[in-house]
Amino acid sequence: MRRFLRNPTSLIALVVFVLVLLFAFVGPQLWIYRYDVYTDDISQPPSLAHPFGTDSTGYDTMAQIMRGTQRSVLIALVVAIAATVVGSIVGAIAGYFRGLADAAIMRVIDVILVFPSIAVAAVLAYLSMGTETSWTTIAAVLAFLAWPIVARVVRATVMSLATSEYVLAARGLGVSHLGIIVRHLIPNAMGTITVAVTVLTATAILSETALSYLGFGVQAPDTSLGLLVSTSQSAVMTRPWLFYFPGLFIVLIALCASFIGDGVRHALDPRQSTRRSA
Amino acid sequence: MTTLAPTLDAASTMSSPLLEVRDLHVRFGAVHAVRGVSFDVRRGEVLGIVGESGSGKSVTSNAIMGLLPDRTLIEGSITFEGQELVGLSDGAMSRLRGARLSMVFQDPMSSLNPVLTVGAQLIEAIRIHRPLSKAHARAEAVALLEVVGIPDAQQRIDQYPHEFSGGMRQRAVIAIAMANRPDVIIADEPTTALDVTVQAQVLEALDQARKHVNAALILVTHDMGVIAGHADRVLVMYGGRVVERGDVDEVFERSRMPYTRGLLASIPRIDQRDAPLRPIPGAPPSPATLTGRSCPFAARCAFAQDVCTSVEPALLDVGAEDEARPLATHAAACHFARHPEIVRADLPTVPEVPAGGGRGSEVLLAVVDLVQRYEAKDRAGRRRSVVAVDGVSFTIRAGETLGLVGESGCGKSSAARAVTRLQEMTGGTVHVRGRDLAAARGRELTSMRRQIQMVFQDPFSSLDPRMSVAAVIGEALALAGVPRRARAERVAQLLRDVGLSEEMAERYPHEFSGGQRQRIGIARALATDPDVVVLDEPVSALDVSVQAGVVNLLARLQAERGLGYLFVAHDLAVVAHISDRIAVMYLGRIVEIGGRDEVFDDPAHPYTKALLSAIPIPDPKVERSRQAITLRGDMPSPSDRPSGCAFRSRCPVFASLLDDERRKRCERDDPELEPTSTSRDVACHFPNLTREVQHA
Repeated sequence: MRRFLRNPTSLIALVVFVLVLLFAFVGPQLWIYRYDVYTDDISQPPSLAHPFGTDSTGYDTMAQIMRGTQRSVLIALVVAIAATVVGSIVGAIAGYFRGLADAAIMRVIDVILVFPSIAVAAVLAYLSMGTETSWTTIAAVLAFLAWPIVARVVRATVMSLATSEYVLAARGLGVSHLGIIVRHLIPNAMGTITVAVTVLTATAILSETALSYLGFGVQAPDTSLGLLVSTSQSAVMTRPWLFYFPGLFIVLIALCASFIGDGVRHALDPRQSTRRSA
Repeated sequence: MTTLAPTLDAASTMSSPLLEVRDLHVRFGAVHAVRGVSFDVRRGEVLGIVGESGSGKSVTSNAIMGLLPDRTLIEGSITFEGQELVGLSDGAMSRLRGARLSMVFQDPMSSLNPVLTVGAQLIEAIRIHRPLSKAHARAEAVALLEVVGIPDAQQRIDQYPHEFSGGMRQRAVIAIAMANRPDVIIADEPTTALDVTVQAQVLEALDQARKHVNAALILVTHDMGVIAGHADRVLVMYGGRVVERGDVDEVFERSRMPYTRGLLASIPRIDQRDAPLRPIPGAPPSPATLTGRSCPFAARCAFAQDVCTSVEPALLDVGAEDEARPLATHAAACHFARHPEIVRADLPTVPEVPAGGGRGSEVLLAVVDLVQRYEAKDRAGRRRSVVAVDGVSFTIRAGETLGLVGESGCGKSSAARAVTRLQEMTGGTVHVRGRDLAAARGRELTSMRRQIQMVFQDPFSSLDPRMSVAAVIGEALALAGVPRRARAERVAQLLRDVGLSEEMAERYPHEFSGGQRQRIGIARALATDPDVVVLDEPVSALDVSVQAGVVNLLARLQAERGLGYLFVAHDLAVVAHISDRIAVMYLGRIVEIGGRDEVFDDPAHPYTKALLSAIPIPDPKVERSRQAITLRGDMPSPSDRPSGCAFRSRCPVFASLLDDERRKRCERDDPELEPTSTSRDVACHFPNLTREVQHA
């Protein structure tokens, strides 16, 4: 932890991310407008009354972004964490045991990877028509589609790590397979894994947009950052505030995830600890 | 053509230097890797540059070739036939490279392009610099391959690098290097990646090539034995500088630099097996830590005085020890280089390891008919099994070391892994103190694993980089059932036992040098209090000056604890020092096993004899008077085992001493290991003829 805090970019990213979270989760309590209540002001550019403006139906954009950020951050984090945990464990098992286990796991992964996510979303949207889908369902679907990507990367890393002499040495000492995976392989694959979490966080926000766009996922009046961006695409020229503010938040969250991921990776690797102070 | 004043070197009157390096400095950012190196190279001579990792020897040779990255800061002067090379554009340098200056790299696997035939690469090398027709260039390419000793050059020229063995690839690289009759050939560790018998062949080929084109050769190596046998003059590099320079005989016999002396005293010699190894304390400095305000060797030097830590000594002419020797051929960078009474005083003695301390008669490890087979796919995609270990048997008693030697691919590492059950053996039995390791399962296996531990070759990959030393050793202690409370104390104890300090426990592996890491690996192996330790090439990845310390440590630990060692190595000189008995492996089998002195003094198998004769001895007088038995070719692939005696394809006895009748026996019958005396077994039909093998 101390090592993480010593990295200035990661520290700044963490502070910004906490501010974004406060804005999204505490903000609605303090802000006068609710995301699902129309105001009298229609298509207003940013002003003191509406810092991020309003849309053509009178929703306050800031209230909507608060709500959207809540949804997007929750979905992104759940997807990233679930997919990474499952993907890392499965990938480590495949890479470490190889042989039959590996072959079986990899075929399952191949099958999942060939699912076109758009088609999956379309089918699910059709099935769930009329009913309300909660954000957890969306997260589950996205995580299901994402874990194989993590598993493949982790498997490749673990395969090369598993031949290192320190793994042989551990086996020679009589460390169990579980012990080797948990104590030696996963920690050493942490670099790969944090990169995966980071990338997934950013892509999950965008994937959620695609799903919502097709009618499966977050539906109006509830909203997400992705939905806000996609619905206001056509307004880029005429009412740019509708597009740029939610877009800004997506970029902010993705950047924070990336820098925090970097910081975690450095903090976990003892080899990176010797930062030279000039 | 040079305007520089001629040096006092007698040879300089004969010819002016081809290559002059003056006050060369190379900096990578803040790292000052080469700090003021000067030397000359003359036509026809072999200049050896010897040094350990970080000494700057490879950076110097790459600087001459103009192969350093662009951001490198190079100062000083390198002139080739009067033309300044420092600051020359890459295009101009390219016209010289390959034509006038050429280079042989360490790794023949990566210095040839795998998707082009050897011939195509050789012809390309010729045609870049000379406007020859393809047919003409090809004829020349064939001739070049013949010079470096590639048989059937006419056919083999159209083969791809993967169809060549390691030694043949390196010969092909040498052929490419000499393709345009260069004036200077730089060979950077040309034989380090090769086996010792192949090393002898390749050095021979390099010598042939050099004579053929009458070039100067710069031979860069860490191996004092190679220098002793092949160089005319030598530069000893340390900490980015030349610390000693002179004729090979002069430097080896009358060294005036404590580092050179220490290095020579620390190298195990096959002809002096019982002489104690004197390790140089510490490790070679990293170039990043050098200040230029002290002698880089001071911290490790037995003769260091106050001046050594405050002033960096210049390379000074040693002066004549007796009137007959010309001045200025010998120089050393030591404040006391002109005080032979100081720098030639006796080196401090090392504590003698009590011989055979914990020697007992109990058999700790008994291996019978060990077989290790792998399933592999051949090039055509057919499955075939490769027999890596083919019926190996031996025993190790308490306090005894069995040295298991052989070239790469002979199966010695596979045997070591099967014996420790890091790999499931295909057949045979392994008993540790009478308990069957091969049949052990579950909890019994875990408890037996504690009894037989392994020390690995690579100190950089054998320790988990994310674990502190305390965690690495603690993991082993936990498995040995040491309660958590007692672990810290045991870790400290183990660290002291292997010559480290207990304060190091909280550090991570990357903070240690190679030698220190290897000591941590040894401490981990000892944590479970084993009976047998399998040492798989434990010192071959270490710097020469550090090896001796680890070997001595192993000998001391063995004497203190009565450990049985299986010492697997390709370096017979190291093995000779620590082993009580020797087993020589060839193509998966033991071809000779017996008491150390019996095997070394009077080898009964022709392979053993050839192996011993190929080891360079770091003494120019001895090395030049020896004649290596050059084995033909390389070891066949285990999947392509010759019928009868597997060694016959390379056997000097088979080739020259047998009549057809007796040859048939070698072709037909596979020789069994049979005793030639009470303490030695040999697998050869005609062991008595081995003595008659001529050194040629």
